[in-house]
Amino acid sequence: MLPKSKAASLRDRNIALTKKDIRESVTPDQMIIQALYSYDELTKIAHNLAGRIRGWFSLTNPELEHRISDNRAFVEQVLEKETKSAMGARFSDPDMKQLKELAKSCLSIFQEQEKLIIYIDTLMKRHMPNVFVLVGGKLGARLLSMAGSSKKLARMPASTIQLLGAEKALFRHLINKKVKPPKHGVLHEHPLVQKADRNRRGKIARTLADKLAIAAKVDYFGGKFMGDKLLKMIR
Amino acid sequence: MKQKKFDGIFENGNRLYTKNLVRGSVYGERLFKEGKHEYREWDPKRSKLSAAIMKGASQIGLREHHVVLYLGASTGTTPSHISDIVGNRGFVFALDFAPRMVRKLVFLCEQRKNMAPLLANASEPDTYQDRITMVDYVYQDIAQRDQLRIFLLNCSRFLEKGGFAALCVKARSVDVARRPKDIFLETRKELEKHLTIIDYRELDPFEKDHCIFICKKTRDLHL
Ligand SMILES: C[S@@+](CC[C@H](N)C(=O)[O-])C[C@H]1O[C@@H](n2cnc3c(N)ncnc32)[C@H](O)[C@@H]1O
Repeated sequence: MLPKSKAASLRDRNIALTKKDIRESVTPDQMIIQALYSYDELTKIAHNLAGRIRGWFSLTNPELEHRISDNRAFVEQVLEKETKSAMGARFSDPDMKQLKELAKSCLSIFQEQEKLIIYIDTLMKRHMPNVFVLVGGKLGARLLSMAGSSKKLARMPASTIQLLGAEKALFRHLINKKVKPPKHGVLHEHPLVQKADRNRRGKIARTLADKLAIAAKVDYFGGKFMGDKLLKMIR
Repeated sequence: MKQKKFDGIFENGNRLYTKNLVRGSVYGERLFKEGKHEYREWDPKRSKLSAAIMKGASQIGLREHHVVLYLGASTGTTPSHISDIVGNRGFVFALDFAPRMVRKLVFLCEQRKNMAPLLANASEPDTYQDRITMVDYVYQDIAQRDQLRIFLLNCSRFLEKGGFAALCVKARSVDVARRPKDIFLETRKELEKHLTIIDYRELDPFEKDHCIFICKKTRDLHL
């Protein structure tokens, strides 16, 4: 049992202190991760919306819809002047107007994604400059989000970083040794890994992960910038 | 509504309830009104202490007026029921180390006069010792590998001699590969070196591979 006045003051003080603690617990990591997840969210929305616009638009111009496979280019085309179609039905002005409204929304989602990428790059350059130089903003942010925080990323051995994003494949290998172990996770997105011959990709991912492990440590513990040197060593 | 043999805990049909200290539902649980009083349903699938009672625990050690240190309070599901049980002359220090959880906990504490939030790591008592008092009851549910060490550390520092403590153990967070029974047994042996175990329940089918130890601090701990 606590005396009433003691309880009240303990509670007030702890509520105030905890609010401050929560306020101060927000980190740049979280801003980067939220931005990346927002980008992912927009990717899904843009994909679905563009698909819907394709479905609708192909009633009036299936040829054009069929010709342009890139979603963004397609949506931009919908907003252009109409072209002739042999199979398409003629849309009235209100029909077309409505469809274009939708295309505009979709285009603005693509534009929002560009802005998010610039925002993520800026934050990554500032908070994780070494990782940024090695893998760029988006992939760096992806690794950060998979690790959970820059602290956790800084403590990861290279072998773990190499396989971030390949957890499912790794698990399949662990329960059945006949399944080959994965060679890389999200690092396969990196241009150096992409460009490499199939049989060399694992090796390159490994080298990249080695340097990333160093870069993440330097970024987290605040060492001197050395990303350019690390990058040279990979090339 | 029938009073169970435990302070502040009631039974109606097959369901458990606590008498609501503040009107309204906290996390979507059902309310039951009788006379002037409002009761909140206490679902054993959402709360391990409720599950322990459902599994026939003979005692849980928790009394009205108790001051409680709750480690791993999350968003306050079980802490809110403990707040009901200890009542307005008792108190609950609700601690968790995840800001996302503690945010909700703050809102709950603003509603309840007998609760205070803490954003801290239970394995670092130095960081919160100035913010709490000695307590009559320690409740821990943190699903961590070194949960036993953390539990003993807190009981040693903050639990009054003669006080009670409840430890929830999740076998999978200690070791995924070993049999839960073995982990529970090992935990018991280690616990018994420091505290007196007065009840033990395995919580299936409400929680798979979980158990709870109810302990009493009968002597000082030497860690
Ligand atoms: C299983 S949940 C607790 C659920 C809660 N006891 C209930 O019944 O409503 C475990 C919680 O412990 C917290 N936790 C884990 N390790 C911790 C630590 N070392 N210190 C403080 N909180 C911790 C987690 O953030 C999580 O919210």
